[in-house]
Amino acid sequence: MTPARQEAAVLAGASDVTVLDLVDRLLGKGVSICGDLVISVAGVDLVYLSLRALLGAVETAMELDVAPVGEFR
Amino acid sequence: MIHLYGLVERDAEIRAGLTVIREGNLACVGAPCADAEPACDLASLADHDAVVAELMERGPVVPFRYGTVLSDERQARHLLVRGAAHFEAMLESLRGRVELAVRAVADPDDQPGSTSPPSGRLYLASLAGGSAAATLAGLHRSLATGAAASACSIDAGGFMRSAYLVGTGDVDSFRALVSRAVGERPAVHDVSLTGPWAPYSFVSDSDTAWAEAVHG
Repeated sequence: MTPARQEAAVLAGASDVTVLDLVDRLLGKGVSICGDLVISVAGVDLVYLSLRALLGAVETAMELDVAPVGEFR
Repeated sequence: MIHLYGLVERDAEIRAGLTVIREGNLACVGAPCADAEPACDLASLADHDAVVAELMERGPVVPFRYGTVLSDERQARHLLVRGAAHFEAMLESLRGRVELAVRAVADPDDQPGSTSPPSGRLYLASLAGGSAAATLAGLHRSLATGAAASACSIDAGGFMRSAYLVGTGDVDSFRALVSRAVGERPAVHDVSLTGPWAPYSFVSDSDTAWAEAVHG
């Protein structure tokens, strides 16, 4: 890839990649609250909550060996 | 039930229509919801991110993972009280910063190990056919110099996903840094840079931390 093309690729920000990054962040990152567990943020125990929906990216769900909730439409 | 968007400072400007629960120096921002399992479709995710992005424009925000639902205001207040010190410190560390995401692919060098890697581990990795990973590790190290914090994942197949916490005034210079760093590495291709995002990658707890040790 020529330097010009590399720069163009860097600056392009293709929409499909943006969608991928959106999904990765909203379903795989951020402060998480997992049901039936004590919420912890960086090792600080916060509060016990009853089970709530845990949405995870398919990749995350596979890592946890649980079925993903819902499907993308 | 309350679907949570993020945590902000108590006095943050928040538009009407959102549920705001203030406790101490913090505020939880959410919206009423009837379902404990919010819709999992792209439009819903985009709408959620739009709210978080709007909060980010007005001050630091600790974003929640999509689908975080509390049963009532009491639980939100409990969260704010118990986590006050930590969330306040987190907000301060995120003030004036945004997240930029980089993805890149690298091909193995024609002659693995022909470059001079900076560490013994990289050298061994390059001998094992891990030159693509080593190239991406070098790319990440270059980009990390332009960020306050970073997180990176590189797989053996030569694919990198990384995130960088950058000052809002440094976004353009970071983009230029990415262009330069990629230009210096002919083996790197299919590079994408998206953002600014709210700092989703820099607020996760240690059990779900995305950052992994970079090769080398």
